[in-house]
Amino acid sequence: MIASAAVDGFDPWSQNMQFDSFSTWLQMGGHGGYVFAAYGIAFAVLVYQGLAPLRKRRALRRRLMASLEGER
Amino acid sequence: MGWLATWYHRWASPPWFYQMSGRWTRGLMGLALPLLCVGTLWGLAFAPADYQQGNSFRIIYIHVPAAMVAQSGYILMASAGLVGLVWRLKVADVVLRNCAPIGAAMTFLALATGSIWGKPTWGAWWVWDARITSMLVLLMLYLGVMGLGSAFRNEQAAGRASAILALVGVVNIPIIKYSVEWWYSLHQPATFRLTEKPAMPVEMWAPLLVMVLGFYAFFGAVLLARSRVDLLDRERRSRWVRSLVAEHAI
Amino acid sequence: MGLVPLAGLICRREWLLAVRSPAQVLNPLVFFVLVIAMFPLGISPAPEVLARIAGGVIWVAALLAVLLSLESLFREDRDEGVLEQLLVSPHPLPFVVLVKVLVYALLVGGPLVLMSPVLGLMLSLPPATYGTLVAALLLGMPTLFLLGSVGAALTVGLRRGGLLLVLLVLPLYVPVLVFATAAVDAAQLGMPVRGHLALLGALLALMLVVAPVAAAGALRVTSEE
Repeated sequence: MIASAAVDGFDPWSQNMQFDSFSTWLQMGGHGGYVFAAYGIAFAVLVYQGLAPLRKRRALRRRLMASLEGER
Repeated sequence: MGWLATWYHRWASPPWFYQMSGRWTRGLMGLALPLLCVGTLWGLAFAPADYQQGNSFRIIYIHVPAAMVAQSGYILMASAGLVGLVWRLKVADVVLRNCAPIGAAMTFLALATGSIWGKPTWGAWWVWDARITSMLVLLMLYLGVMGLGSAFRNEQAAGRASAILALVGVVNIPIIKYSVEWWYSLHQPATFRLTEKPAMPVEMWAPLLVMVLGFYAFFGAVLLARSRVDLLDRERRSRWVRSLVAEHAI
Repeated sequence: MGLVPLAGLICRREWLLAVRSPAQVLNPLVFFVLVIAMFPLGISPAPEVLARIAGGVIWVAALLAVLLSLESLFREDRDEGVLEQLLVSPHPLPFVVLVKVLVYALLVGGPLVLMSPVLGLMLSLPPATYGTLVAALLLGMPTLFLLGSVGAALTVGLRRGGLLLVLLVLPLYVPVLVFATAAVDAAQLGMPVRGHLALLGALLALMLVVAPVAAAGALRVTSEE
């Protein structure tokens, strides 16, 4: 209910770009370093977390295959 | 109640969990990546800047989702611990143990972004703000669960010990949060906080909602992906895993 | 055997252990005093500075002293096989743990509480606050030992358990530290302290119920290792 009241007249498809050019976007009014550092760390952490299961899986596959070979 | 029992027995069985979690991982990841991309773009370029904080406000779009996921991650971990202790489920044990590393990473992310956000806002990299301090304690709680789990040689004992610790932690978390907020109000009354806005306009919170959903989906996907690999490892001597290995189906 | 004679036996055993190896009781006390003596050396001997930080310093030193003593809470019982006897005995394990922890808290924590006004004096704490300091320690110290007993039970069989114990238990000590030092601060400012002490009492009541059950469960788990 709160949301619908606030959403009144809000159209997600007609949001305006807040920056005139690429360089003003990078600067972010002087806060560019902070903002992009934060997003960079977030990107690094998410990518690492996302790849970790794949790596574990590959290592496990190798280990299980080897033990299966050993039994034969 | 019959369907509930069936559902429960299916998910509690390792081969079924392995099969279904594969589908769920792909589904959640397929949800998470578009949400995160759209949310990041929206937050970085289209959402309006804050009238007080300027563009540094855009850090909210990762700080708040990370903090939310970190906190619910602990509650999920403790719930898995309770299920594991009461019904002695291997699947619950595995989920519990794999919650901790992702939860710790999310807590670290919330701390790091909060600290970066604090520099332009307060002029200092670290401020003993109530929220940041409780996140620091949460990180220690996560590290404790990880450390305890890795100190045992017996996997079953590791799971149950971690479950007990997670449950004691979850009982204490509301008290810790309350005490830290109270402590903060004693020492620094009425400074303004990073994320507490009287009313955030929809142009600002809509991308935040997208990012929060994206982070939750990502957390779920990674948790399931990690858990199913771990489950295979623990069940490596069972027939179903051996046949999967023999068929090159891992 | 009824619960009261059982409690009597546990008390007697703990007492005998403490008398035979007084280091178990004395080491935390010496540690407590030494850590506090480092603060004037490290920060400043000025009375107004010391009075400002005294409450926090005494409490942090008390936390560390308790942590130091926790490692030996179940260690001896485990090494001598007493723990295994308790696990298979028909007595309710949470009750045994509760009595044991409270006796241990009295033996190890009691001297710290008695010593605290002297240390307050050395840190230029105004004498009017001693009552609050001791009351906060009396209410907070058992909570520290109860919470710590869970950590001690979880790490009792582990190598390198000592450092892990600190990591497990210290975050849980945050509320006790906050409320207790706030009580001492309030007393220094001449403000009412009942609210703070009531919160400490509530924490103690909660932990009296939760901690023995958790610690007993933990002892069962670690005995499998």
